[in-house]
Amino acid sequence: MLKDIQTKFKAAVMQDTKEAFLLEIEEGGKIGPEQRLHIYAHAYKSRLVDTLVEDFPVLHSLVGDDMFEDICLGYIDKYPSSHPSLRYFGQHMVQFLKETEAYSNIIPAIEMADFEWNFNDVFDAPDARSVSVEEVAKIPAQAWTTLRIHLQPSFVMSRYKWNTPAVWSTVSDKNDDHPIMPEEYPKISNCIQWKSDLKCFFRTVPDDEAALLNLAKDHKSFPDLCEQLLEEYGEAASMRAAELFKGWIMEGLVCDLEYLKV
Amino acid sequence: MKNTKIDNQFLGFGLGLRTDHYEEILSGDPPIDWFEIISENYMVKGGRQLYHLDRIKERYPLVMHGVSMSIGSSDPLNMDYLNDLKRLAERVKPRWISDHLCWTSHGGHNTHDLMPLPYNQETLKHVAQRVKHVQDFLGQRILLENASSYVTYKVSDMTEWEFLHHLAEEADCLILLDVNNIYVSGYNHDFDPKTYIDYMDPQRICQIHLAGHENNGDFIIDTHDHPVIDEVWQLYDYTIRTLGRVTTMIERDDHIPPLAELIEEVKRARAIGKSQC
Repeated sequence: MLKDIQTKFKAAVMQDTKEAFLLEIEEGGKIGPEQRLHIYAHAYKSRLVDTLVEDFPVLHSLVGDDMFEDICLGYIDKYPSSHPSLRYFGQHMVQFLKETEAYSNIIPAIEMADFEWNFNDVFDAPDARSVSVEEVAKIPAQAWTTLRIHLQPSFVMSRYKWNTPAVWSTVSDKNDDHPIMPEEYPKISNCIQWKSDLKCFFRTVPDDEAALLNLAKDHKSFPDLCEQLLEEYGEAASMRAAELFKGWIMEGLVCDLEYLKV
Repeated sequence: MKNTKIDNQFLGFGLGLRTDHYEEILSGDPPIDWFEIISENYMVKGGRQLYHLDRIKERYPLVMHGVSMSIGSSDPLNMDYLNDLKRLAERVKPRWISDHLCWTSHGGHNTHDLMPLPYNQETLKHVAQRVKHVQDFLGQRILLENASSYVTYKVSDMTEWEFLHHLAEEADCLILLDVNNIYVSGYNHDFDPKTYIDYMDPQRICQIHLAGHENNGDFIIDTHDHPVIDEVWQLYDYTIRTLGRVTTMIERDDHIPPLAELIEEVKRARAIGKSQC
């Protein structure tokens, strides 16, 4: 009986198939069963829409109120919440936009959803300390051949065809005087997002740096990183790798250094 | 759990911890005895929420209040959720853990709302078993809160207060009595809130919630986005006179005002609490 009632109630709230459930409601009081049910159905949709509004503010701004509402309602139907926390409700948004005909060609919107959701994940990813310049200075010269760099657990890298990070910045900063409009890049760009000292960061990175970050993420050694740059930089490969590594340290991208103590 | 002595600690007068107030709480010394956290907001791996939580827990007693245990669901208990809850409790070391007498999930989907249960023997047996299981898993009694409701069922054959009372006895759990929710449900279902309070066993009441709501004339929506209204303050006064001194807090979930405004409500609760004890 309990399961039957919950099945009917859920269907009435989530799928708007309310007739069966209305028969279960005790009548009486100032309002009828239909209005009583409506309170729950309305709360269900509005709570989930509010969650998406909070999680995707720039996507919202990019596509406008009407389309964003359509996106939300379509998403709620297709991906009802399967996690006890609303924090994860929007996790399928990129997938939803890609697979829905009405949105699958709006690449700036798909990329913005990806960028915003990444920040959600970065925000509450495990925290880790940042390696300091002083710690790097203490690495013995002969240990550099064994050095492996550990990036922040929050680190994520994406590839965008459009100027998604720049648009996100201009909308987030409410820069209405000089807004940056969505624009397709001449070539695909790499964007990294991470958290250091509880603050979230992002920036675009050149291809050679992106390749090195991928290797570092896979815990390849510093010589492996240098080798990656050999073709492009020749004898200056080590210098370029060291330069990039220094930048990562300054930005708090590195949470640990692993090397043989010799 | 059965047969262990019920030892309700009195924590004083508290407030729901909200992100808007982190800095002010940590930089000042607000006259608040304890804080209640929404468990799900802290069931994450890192970030500012946990950072601030760790600092606030060093200075104030905390209790954990969840919204997604879905104790009344006909789905199996969500052990992933309970494991996360237990892990958080190990970190927070709360004075107690509470959730709601309701269901929130069914068929693997979450409504993210506190859905009412039919109150009859079948539900009582089902929920009592689940409460016992959760208490054994967490190694402590839990508190269940009466949720506001807008629907009652034809298949119910007892009142909510009878159900809650019998559930607490059967499962040996405790009760978080939300005085505002009693007022809201009384308005929506046309019963006298005092009848509800009179039926409660003072031994089982461990905590009280006070909150505001939105009155739409024919019905009240439990929004927790307004100050506590005078009628609810009066009902709180009656509750304390009937049940004795109970740990009490102000719960605001939306339209979060400056901390000072909520402190005034905490003071009012304290004044009522003191005048009756």
